[in-house]
Amino acid sequence: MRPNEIKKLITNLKVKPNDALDAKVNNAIDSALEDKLKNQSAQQSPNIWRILMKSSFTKFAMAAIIIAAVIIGLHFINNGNVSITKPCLAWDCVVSHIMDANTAELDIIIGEEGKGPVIHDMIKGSRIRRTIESMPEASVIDLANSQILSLDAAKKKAVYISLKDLPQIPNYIDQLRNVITMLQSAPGFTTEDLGDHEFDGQMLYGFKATGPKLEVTIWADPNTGLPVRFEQTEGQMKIICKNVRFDVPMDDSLFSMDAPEGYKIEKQELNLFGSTEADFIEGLKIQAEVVGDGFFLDDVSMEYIVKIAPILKEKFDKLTVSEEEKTALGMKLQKGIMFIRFFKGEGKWVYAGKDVKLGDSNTAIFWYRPAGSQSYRVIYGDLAVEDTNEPDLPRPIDKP
Amino acid sequence: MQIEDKILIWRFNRGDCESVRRIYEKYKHELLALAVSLLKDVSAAEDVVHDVFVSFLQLQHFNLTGSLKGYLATCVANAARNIIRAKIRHNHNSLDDIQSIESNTHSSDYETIFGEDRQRLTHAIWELPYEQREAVLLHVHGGMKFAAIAKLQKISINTVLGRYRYGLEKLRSSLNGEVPK
Repeated sequence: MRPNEIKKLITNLKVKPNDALDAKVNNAIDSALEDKLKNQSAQQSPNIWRILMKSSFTKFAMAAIIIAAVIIGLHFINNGNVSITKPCLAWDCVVSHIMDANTAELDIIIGEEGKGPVIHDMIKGSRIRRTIESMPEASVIDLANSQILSLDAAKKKAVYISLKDLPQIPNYIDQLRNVITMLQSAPGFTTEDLGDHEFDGQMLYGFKATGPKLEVTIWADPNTGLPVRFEQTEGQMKIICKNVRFDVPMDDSLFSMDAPEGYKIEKQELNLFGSTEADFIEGLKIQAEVVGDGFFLDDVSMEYIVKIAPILKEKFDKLTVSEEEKTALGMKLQKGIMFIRFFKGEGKWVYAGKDVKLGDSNTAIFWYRPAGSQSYRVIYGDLAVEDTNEPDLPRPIDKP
Repeated sequence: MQIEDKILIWRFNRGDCESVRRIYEKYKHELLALAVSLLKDVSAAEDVVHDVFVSFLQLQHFNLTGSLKGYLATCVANAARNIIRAKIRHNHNSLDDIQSIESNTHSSDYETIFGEDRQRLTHAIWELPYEQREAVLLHVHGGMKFAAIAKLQKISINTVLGRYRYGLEKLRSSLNGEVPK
């Protein structure tokens, strides 16, 4: 036998481990996995937004969630049945500034102040220039053409996001005026006088208008009569707009939809409005399997989703699937989230999935009444859905 | 390094323990063969492979410049050495006397483990002095460079080359039915 033949024989030496060794090693790996997951759940992220931007999937997902959450934040959407009486003079006076404005600049917060990122919007015509606290990109949202241009100066990257099914909004400020006019023209329109309240060291005077699905509070500077803060509750989501300034001079170049020279261009599509119950159920399943270790999340509200975004990011990063599969999964998750963001049912929805295990067929986790329906839809822990009447709901929708 | 190994290490460094399962599945046969060849003891060899992967899982970050297979082979060799050192301490012997204190795996076990066609080779490897056996196995089977083996054995590269040459020559003689020089 020649040395090369011996070497070849040695190279090919293999021993099949017995089942016990395989089991021992696999158990060790399972334990390590369990420990890592436990540690991850216990960890708190110091600056979620910086971490979030490290993943291309998360960047897209988070941008989409934030855009979806507040893109129509100032659209005082009239859901049809506003039942208040006549406008008061003070309300008229304050909203007249909105009616006369050509541009607007404001900071937007989803949920409670201090708990989420601050989004800064500059508005001119149908376009919004949006920057988000601790995120390097600037986005220009062109509502007339249902498109977003997201610019990353550091990476010289421009991403065009086409907003599928976005209603035609020719001019953002005009739209706002239309909504206010519609609100004021509605039979029974009234406003509630909230008196003085201090915000960030400034004393403001407030008015509140309430509709079936909408509640708008405008806080104005008593010295100038200018509206400087809006609080809007839309469905079960609260949006705060503060530091509002109207008619601020703004350069048109800030709202350009042309990618700067030398930027790498990418294109994506985002469907904000087409989510169905099936999308929501698919989203619940992904949330439980990927994020909740087999349990449903504590909450499905937009505020909660934005708050747990770092955990979503980490869990998705650790998935052992290809980037393409990860993106596809992320898109499904987004569609599920959109169902809640643009909830089309009647009245409120109820989520009771906290601590419920995926597959639990005895526990109802979500119920709502679809638009135009007399009966309710109840989703169970095994993701089966049943139609039921109001007396048979797990608990009444308006009670906590 | 193979692309797949790079991806597996990248995933491991991002906290994906599942990548270790893939690494185990990929290299378990070769690592166990190396451990059995070094230790001449199946149970001890299985313990070594298990311990290598348990230690691997405890790493916080893994920065590898060479091959993954070579790294794992080094881990197996180190663990095997530890077992042998423990036996030496117990028996007050040296590495050169290791043959006399290695476990005696029965002939029928060799067939089960390696298959008949490789029995002669296995016997021949086990007949080598431990240091020569280690040098030959780590270089040929583990794909390790002589410099890395020298570092592991804490000797000069020339000594490793010498051990390797002597070991290979003895294997050749043994397998060809010659009387070793």
